[in-house]
Amino acid sequence: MTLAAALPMTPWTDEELVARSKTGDIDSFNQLVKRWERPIFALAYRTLGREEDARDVTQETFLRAFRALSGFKGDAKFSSWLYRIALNLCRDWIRKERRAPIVAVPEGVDVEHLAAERGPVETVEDLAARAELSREVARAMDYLPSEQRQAIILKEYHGLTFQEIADLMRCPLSTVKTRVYQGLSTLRKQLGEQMAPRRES
Amino acid sequence: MQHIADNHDALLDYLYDEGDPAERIRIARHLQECAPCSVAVLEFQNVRGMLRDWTPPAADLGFRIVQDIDASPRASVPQRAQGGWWQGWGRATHQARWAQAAAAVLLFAAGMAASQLTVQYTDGALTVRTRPGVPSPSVQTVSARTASIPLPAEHTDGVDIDALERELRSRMTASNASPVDTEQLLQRVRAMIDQSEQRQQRELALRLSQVATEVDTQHQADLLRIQQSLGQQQDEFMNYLVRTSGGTK
Repeated sequence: MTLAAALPMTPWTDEELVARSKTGDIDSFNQLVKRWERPIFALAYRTLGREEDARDVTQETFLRAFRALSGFKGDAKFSSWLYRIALNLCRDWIRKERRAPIVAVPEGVDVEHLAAERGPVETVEDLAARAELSREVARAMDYLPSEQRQAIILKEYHGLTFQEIADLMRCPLSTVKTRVYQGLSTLRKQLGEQMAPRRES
Repeated sequence: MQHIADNHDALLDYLYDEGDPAERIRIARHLQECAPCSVAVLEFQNVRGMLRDWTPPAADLGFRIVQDIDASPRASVPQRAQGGWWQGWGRATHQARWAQAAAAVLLFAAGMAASQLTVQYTDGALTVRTRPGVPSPSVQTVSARTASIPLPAEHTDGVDIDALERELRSRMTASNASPVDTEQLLQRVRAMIDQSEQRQQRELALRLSQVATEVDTQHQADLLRIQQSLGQQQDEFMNYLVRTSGGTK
């Protein structure tokens, strides 16, 4: 069979890759790692606030997933299962470290990093403003209890529905909505000073 | 209608575009008439806009599960990208050098096959030629007519991996390797070639998928910019309304 004939027209779904991984196909599992490592890292980073911690949690998440793959029945989406593992690890990490989840200005949020993803009309001043705003957001998120912060992270950055978050966090839908609302209200107050100049601009 | 600022469920459903569409339409109509609720919604939307500026660092991740050649895959651990898939293979330092050389030759042959090159091995000399481009129709016709005519080995297009394997097998036998070792090695090399080809196919498919994702992301970003622009105009309009109505809430 030629390479062109063997090439699938669409990439394999998570479910297909999970099924192949269960038969011992490590490459298939590595495809899943490649597909999900950045979202999991982003979740861990925003929850823990430190790049090295987030990296370790991400690695541990995939290791645990790999070891427990035979027990994954597919009742939930693979991504939801991964998110749950990562959130549990973040929670354990915070308990173990006995510290507030976000203790410092986030690392790596600098103008150089932002420059890589800037739009064509964005000036250096805009980039600096974005970097400062990013730090402000991180500080404001620091004020939130971990449940509110996690609910907002899952909603804002991972696009989960309220019901999916409720399933993931194993709490009622109304609880998730309350957490998101309270979290946003707190952020609204904390970021109030930032909002005025933005609105003027 | 109840003020949306006092109805958290409705406010969140409206903000995140969830819930009953008819209810969202009712809320939108209410917002056109109620300045305090409009201001509340705009403030929450601004908060959400600011949250989008919180980006994680562009860390170089590249985690992979690697298989130790002497252990079950399930006992292996993820390694950073620096190690790569060949780590497990590299651990087999007890293998003779000729075995690794044989693997390299077969991998090279597989690469030649994938890159449309012609390899000929005659009289102890290895010749590599690029395969001609897409043949013209007349050439195709000739090829079809002569397809059933057996050609000498040195004129066969593409890489004859079986021939290479036979050659390697004879050389390894000549170097006093035991037949069992030779057979195991060849099996492993064949497995590596299969895995390499599968991986190339999957990576190509993944790249296609990434391109599609990037296009979609750009599309979403464009929509977002349009939405933000509209939001600003709405904001200005609401400020104007508040000013002209004497700032009443």
